[in-house]
Amino acid sequence: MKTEFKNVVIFLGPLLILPALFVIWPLIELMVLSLKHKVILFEIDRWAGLENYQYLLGKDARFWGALGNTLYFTVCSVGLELVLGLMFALYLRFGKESAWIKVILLLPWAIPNVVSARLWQWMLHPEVGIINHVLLTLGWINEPVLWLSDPTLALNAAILADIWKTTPLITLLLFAGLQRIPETILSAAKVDRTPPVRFLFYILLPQLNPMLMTAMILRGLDAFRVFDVIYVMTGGGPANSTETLSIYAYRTYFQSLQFGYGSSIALTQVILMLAMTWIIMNAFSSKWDRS
Amino acid sequence: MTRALHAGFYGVILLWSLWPFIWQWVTSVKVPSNISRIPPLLPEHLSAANYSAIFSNETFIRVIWNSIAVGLGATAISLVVGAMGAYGISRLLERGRRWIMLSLLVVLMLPQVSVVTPLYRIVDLMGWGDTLWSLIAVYSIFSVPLVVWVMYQAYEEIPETLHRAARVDGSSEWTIFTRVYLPLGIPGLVSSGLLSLIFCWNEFLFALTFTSSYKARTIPVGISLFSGQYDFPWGEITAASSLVTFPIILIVIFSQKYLVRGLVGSGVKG
Repeated sequence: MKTEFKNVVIFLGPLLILPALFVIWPLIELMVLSLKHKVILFEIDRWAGLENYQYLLGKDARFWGALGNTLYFTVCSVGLELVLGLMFALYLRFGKESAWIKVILLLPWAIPNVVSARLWQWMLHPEVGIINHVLLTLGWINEPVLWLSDPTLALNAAILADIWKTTPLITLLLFAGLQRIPETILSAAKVDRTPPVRFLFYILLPQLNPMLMTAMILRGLDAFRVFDVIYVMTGGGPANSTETLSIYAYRTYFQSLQFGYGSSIALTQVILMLAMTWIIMNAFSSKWDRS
Repeated sequence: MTRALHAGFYGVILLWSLWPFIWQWVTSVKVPSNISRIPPLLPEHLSAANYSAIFSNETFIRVIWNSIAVGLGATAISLVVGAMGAYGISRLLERGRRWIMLSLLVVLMLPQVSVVTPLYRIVDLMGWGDTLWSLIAVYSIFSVPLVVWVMYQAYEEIPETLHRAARVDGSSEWTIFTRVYLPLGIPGLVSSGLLSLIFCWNEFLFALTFTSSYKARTIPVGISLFSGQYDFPWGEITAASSLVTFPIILIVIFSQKYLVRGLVGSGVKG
């Protein structure tokens, strides 16, 4: 019994320090800070109770705007990635598979976010960007589109860059899921001459459900905290039209130096994230039971 | 007919995935004065001016070394801590596994911005401000859970009987871990090590906020801070981007199998 305990301490002890302590401590500090008015520049540091949250939820239109942008970004990018990823994965599974296509699919996923953001920023350049050039040459547009400085387009441009970068990951996850479907089910459907649409909706998708859920949760949480792509491409502008929760929190911390209020935003984001996870997990809890 | 269809589909996937890279390379070999002109689409003659500007830029070379050092340091730490932790969770715990794995997933998915200021204070207290150590420590926090997830999966696939047999023979847990599980788990270590390296090579927010000089800045920060008088120096940016994506392309080509296994393995069982 004693050696058992000693072993647990030896093997699991480091985990208590490395992620646990270094995450729990900051989260507690975040909670404390979020209850304060703290602005470094003016040496303001006093308790505020729940005032930050009252303002955040009640009066702060910028917060609701950022939340809306974040949700729009998350839903659009994850939704389109799932559709595209499923198409690619179905093709790889039932069309033609090759190791090279996996290499090619992995490339966009593996490069730094900052690099892919700069790449898209360059391609979307209003005057010398390749995308405007192609569209103009084809005659689909008459004048250059201001992709990143038009408030109605900028967030969609960031979504495009995100879709390019992470569809490969979803493709690979779904492809692995498709490979796990027992061959017997597939051949049974073949013998029965199941029409393709029925085959997809009544046989493949239900079998693929756990993997779809995993992909959706992982990507959903990742999109919900999006920072790099947007920070590099637009910095949150024009006119806050691409400001997500992470960007808003970052700007509140490091541009207006309001550490108390920034913490309230960040903590609200964490709570929303946990709530989302909790809801999805409970809705699909059967997947998590070990059998 | 089917062949044409396959070729068409492959063409779409290739164009979609590779076009931005190709455009980046094409831009990077243009003569700097020609970059902000379109057409011509293709460079009239190849120019190495952008690359030589990058290579003679000492801060950029520094930044590359910083990235390598941080990536290797954080990956080494996370492999040790993560492999031991995964073994502990998989073989020593009777209950609470699901709870621990879920908490680790939460850490992995935490918005970086939510812990950036408290972590900065800790780093400052340790006297690590603007050093590579700060980034190594902070990246380890986030790549340890990644390693645990992949390695847990790898260890679960090793039959429990092996563990029991070794116990009956009187081996200590430490011996079983180092002599049996560590060697058997090498493919998992390769996968998770690569994932961790890529994570460190790509991370931006902490690298941006924890550093105040090129002493410790990494590649993503370096690239984001390139600036010119009027517009971005796109020639140099694309040349630098091409350079830093090159090692990643090599890693992906030579270890595609491990990467896919790591990504999928950690995702499959949930």
